[in-house]
Amino acid sequence: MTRELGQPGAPLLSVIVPVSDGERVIGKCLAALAASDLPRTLWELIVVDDGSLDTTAPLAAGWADILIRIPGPPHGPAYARNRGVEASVGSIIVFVDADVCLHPDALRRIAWAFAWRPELGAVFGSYDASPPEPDDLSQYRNLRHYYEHQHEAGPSETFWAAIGAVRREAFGRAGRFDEWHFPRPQIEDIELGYRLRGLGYPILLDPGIQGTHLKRWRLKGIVVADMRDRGVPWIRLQLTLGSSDRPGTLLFRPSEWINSGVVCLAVILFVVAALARSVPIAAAGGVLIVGVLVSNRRLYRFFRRHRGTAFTLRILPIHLLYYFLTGCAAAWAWCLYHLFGPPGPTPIIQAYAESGMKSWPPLPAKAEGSSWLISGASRPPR
Amino acid sequence: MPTNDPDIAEGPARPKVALVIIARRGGEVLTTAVHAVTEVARAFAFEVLALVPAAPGGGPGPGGVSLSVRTISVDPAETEAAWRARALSETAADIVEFVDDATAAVLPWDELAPVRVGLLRMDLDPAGNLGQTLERLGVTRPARSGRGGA
Repeated sequence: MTRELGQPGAPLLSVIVPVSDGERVIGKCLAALAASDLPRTLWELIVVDDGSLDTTAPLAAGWADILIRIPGPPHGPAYARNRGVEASVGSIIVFVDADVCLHPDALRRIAWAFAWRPELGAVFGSYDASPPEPDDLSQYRNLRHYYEHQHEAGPSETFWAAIGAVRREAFGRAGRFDEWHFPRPQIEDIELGYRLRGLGYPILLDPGIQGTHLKRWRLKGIVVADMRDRGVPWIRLQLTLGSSDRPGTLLFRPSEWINSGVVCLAVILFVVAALARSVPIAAAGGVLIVGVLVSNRRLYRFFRRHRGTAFTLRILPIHLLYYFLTGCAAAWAWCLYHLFGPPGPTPIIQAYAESGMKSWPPLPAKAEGSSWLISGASRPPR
Repeated sequence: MPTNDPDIAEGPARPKVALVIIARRGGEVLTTAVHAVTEVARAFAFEVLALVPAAPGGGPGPGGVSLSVRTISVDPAETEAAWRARALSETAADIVEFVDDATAAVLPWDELAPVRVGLLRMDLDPAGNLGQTLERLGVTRPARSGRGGA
């Protein structure tokens, strides 16, 4: 496209919001985007409605420049984001989850991040410290995320698409999101980040790019997210790629591994102590737990500063549960990896793909250069 | 990068696109907008709808001009969001693009249309210094974040 940036039809940013049954949040998300201090001529807003059965589409139509309607059951955010990118024209693609209210300066910060570092492949931000859902689970989850991203600022080995932007050229070279292997919200953004890094594109975590996370967390959702959708596939991918290829970031910091292992060991000791009626064994488990708590003292000080002592005490068991789930996910992922190797697509996707059927919306396609496919070729399932 | 896939160019792999022109200015501007999209709409089989506030007398009021596209008369007392939702309910298109009449009149439709239907992928970054361009457009620099942030 030859037009000058900012002229009609030549936006710098294409903001893509995938959403599925998001009537509770989509209006707030899009209203927050509309309050951006980046001139409106510099960005286009594309909402991809992924099979919603509620009033998401008419609500989104009130704000969007382009609304893409994908019929049928949800295909997942990887698929929806890819469809949005296909219809977009901006040279920088910004992904915003439908349950995130971007701060007014977020798009401007993204634009300048790419202006300051022309070699940058992608940049992502952070949730803010003001999650609106008042319950302890939601506060804990969102604040912990804020804490982690604030403390991991700088060059990153992964990407995060809840508030993340990628240069179009880099996105194309990396082969887009892997909609073939990630049919629901999982680690599709992390896996894309690995591919971007593999091509040599720097990725930056800029903690000043922020948004408010509207998500209401429930215990079941945390278990599903930490185990099935995040922990297991991430660890399985890590095993597939080889841990030496990826330096520790976020979940894979050595201290987090150790804490997960220690909590799982403590749980085993508590079970043994209960069966053997042994106080010393139970005490040993208690010592391990205390060690984990002490190693997280900075995080707990952060919680205390933001939400007080009572809140911090209440969320301690939830934090230990997180470590336990991560440990379980690691064990389960290890078993899956050694039994089956890298995962394949769902049987339905596989069957449709083999049929060769062509339609719109298109069938989920293999991402060229997917980490699973590359590693799968060199390391067949055992 | 144009695709040679005939299914995308002609067949069922092409999404149905609707252009919804919102008559904010009306009159000649709306007419110009409709003329601007007519050719490309015909070439790419786009559906074109014009959202036109009803005239005080009750009938549709495109500003005294006749339109060659499907006109949807909307209540001026309603919000634009309500108009857009109405337009959405009137089309079965897969991709619905909303644009006001003044903008529609100047958009490079011949460049945009192939992208919308998947015939063209935008692959290249614009040349030039992005920072200088942002400054020229009056986009102020944010304070740099600490710890290696931008």
